[in-house]
Amino acid sequence: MRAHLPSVCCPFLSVFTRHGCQVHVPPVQDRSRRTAFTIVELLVVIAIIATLVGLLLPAVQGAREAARRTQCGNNLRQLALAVISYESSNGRLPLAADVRQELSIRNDSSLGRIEDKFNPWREAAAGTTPGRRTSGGSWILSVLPFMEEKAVYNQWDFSRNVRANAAVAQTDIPGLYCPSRRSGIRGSDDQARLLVSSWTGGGTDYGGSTGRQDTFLNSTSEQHRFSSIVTPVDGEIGGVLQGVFSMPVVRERSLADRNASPPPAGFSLAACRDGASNTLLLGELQRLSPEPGASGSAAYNRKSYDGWAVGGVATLFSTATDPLHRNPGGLNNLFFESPGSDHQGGSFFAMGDGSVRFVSEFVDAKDNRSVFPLLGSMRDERIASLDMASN
Amino acid sequence: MHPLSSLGGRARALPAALGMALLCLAAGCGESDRPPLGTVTGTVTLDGVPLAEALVLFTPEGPGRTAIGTTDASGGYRLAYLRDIVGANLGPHAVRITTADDEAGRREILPPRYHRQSELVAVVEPGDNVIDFALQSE
Repeated sequence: MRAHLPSVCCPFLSVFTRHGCQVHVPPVQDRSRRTAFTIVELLVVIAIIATLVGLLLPAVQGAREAARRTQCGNNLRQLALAVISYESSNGRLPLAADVRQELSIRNDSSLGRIEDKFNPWREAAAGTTPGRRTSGGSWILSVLPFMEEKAVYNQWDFSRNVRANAAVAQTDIPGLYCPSRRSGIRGSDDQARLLVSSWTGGGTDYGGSTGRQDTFLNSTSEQHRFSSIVTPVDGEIGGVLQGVFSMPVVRERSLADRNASPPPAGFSLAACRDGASNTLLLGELQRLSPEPGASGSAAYNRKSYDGWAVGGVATLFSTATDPLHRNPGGLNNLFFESPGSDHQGGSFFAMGDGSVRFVSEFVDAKDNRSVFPLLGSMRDERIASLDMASN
Repeated sequence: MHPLSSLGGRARALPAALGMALLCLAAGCGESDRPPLGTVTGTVTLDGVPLAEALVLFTPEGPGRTAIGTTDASGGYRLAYLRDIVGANLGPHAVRITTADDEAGRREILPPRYHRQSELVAVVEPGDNVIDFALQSE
């Protein structure tokens, strides 16, 4: 290999030795001997190309991920604008879930009087018994006309529940998927979280805030049932922990009374006493799978429910920090009712004023009076803002 | 030796050097607002017997997040801070250990001084920490 080097790398040297003088003559005779590249030349070219590709690839990947993040923030902003438009048109926000079955009232030894029969998932999945009204619909269903999805909305039969609307409920709405995570239902693992495991679409990566309260029961079969969202706190149901998405307050009223009164509605944004720009409206959901082989609380506290059409934990999150109920607080915490995302380092949230902010997963969430939990509640008159969180 | 004979060697060293520079760059970009953490492992025993299925909670005195761990059959736990991130904030923590899990139907077998009115404290140092808890039922 070395013997070839002079003639290859510097043809002028050969000319020098052959003619015995320093005249630069084009190496005409050498052309016949240089029909191919040597291995060294090839290696040099390959090394240069590899270096260039190596330089370029991380930059391209980074740009692609940055674009997906921007798209995700944009999706959230569009959804927030749809919710705010709904509020402008109707004077009230949509209810957290459309649940039509009567409440049951029980006395809990530690929590006191609880009305806790709101179970949108069960209503959504129930077989449609004639004469029995069930729905289980989500707030996303209510705001569809305000997010350019009126066609989907018009196909929905509001006299029947989600399962009976299966064809519509499986419609993929591109703006409800975070592009960093997925562009649709990805297979059996995603399908297992949907209302019916044979469904092939209709997921969502975004949900509404119910505030800093333990919103759902942590149990295998009842995980999607509202818990303290109807628990009296400070003499008021929902109380100061309440977020912008709420369930109707119905106390000691007969079924006949309720059927006679107008349908319950959510809060108005004016009820955000902490200021709409300091209150979380929407956020991203973690979409967890139970660890393989896990049982008991390790399994059910990791199970996510999915589907834009279904009310409850599939389309809502809480900002509570409640470690003794196995909720360590904050985001990306592997607890089923907390928010989170597949983005590096944090998650997008939409505030009540429609602005979209990226919140670090290291935001202070030590206890229920820390910045992040306080951002979720709308009327506790404890001012928390993300500008405080970044300090 | 011909002056140009070392060109091949230099050409091979060049991508390696560029690759190293790239790695350093990539490492520099990984800067985040992650607070300094220490990893925490240990064993929980009740009256000398390993305590399984207990929830171990470390809540920092300053701002931060509660780190959480569950004991295995031999009483061992490892604290998790966040999804994919193990450890706990540095500094003093209030520690709570509980066996209650209402929904799983598991009762509290520890006295309140270990959870609701916890007297347990622990200090997390940088690096690896081994913090054992020898609990007494009386």
